[in-house]
Amino acid sequence: MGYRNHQQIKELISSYMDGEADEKQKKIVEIHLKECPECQREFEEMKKLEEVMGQMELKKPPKETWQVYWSSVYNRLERRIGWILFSIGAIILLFFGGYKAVEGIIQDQTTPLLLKVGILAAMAGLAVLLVSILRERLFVRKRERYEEVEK
Amino acid sequence: MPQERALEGKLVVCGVQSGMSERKTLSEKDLLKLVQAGSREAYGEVVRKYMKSAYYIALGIVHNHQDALDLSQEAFVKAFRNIKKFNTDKAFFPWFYRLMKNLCLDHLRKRDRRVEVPLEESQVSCEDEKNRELKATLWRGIAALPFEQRELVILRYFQQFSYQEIAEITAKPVGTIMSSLYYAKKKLKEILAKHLGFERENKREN
Repeated sequence: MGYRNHQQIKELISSYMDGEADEKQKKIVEIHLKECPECQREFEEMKKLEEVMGQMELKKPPKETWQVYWSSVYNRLERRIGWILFSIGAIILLFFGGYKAVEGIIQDQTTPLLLKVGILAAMAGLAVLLVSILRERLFVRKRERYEEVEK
Repeated sequence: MPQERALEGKLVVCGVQSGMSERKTLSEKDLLKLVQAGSREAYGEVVRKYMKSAYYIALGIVHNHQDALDLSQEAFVKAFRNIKKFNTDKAFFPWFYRLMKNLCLDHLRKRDRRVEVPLEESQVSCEDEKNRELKATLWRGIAALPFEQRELVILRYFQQFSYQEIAEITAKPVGTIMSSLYYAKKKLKEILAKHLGFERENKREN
């Protein structure tokens, strides 16, 4: 072993097997393998492992996947814009509708006071929930982006 | 599919405008500049070029066809929306990969929090019956690796990227790639030990 520690040689053998070693490294590995039975054995086992791994293939998706792949992406791009516009519109309508409803309920003389309070409380609660969910969505998304490091 | 034909139609129109032959020889850099200028047709070419790598890598990470398809497509959507931030002097795929990886990790985090979903072993195709059990074991072993190692195994042995390319994609030095892959293989080798008849190794370990 001499000038390199054994661990480094082992890593080198691994990259040698992956066809990533340069000429000088190849020489080091080949010479070392001849004189080190431990590495020789590990080399054989790694070879077997890579052989099995080489036969492994990720399952192919259904054929039509590739034909419709881009149009699915395209649809998503388009739909995203649709959703944004729709959401803006829906929020405006919701606020306007809510405002009108509250106005109507307050001005209506025939509705009993208790019912008025109930309806108003329910509507206020709904509004708070909506805002809360919206805020959570926005903040969680922003924050999670920085939690990429695993374990 | 009529829609696809419509898209192709647009491409041809675009090609006629800028000269068909020119269109074909566009480099990735030029293509991406077109995308930055808002061209969805140009983006279509970029997506077609990388969709398979994207899908298979996502499959290697999330182990499920539907999620892999969904996440890889979502990543392309996200990349398009952020394309202005992309530096066209650099390669597209490493940038895209990081973006997709984050989506996949977010997804895994949510999924793991929800329920323990059993991994689909069937994601490895076993056309020949030979070694079926062995491959299933190996696949489970890969799934159990820490993410940093699993990612490298997928890129190297399932996507055939070189160490240099992986270094670029993952923004890590080649030396790190080399030693992480070694440790990953060492672990996989131990998992497979019984199947491959390496039992005597256990005796020697101590």
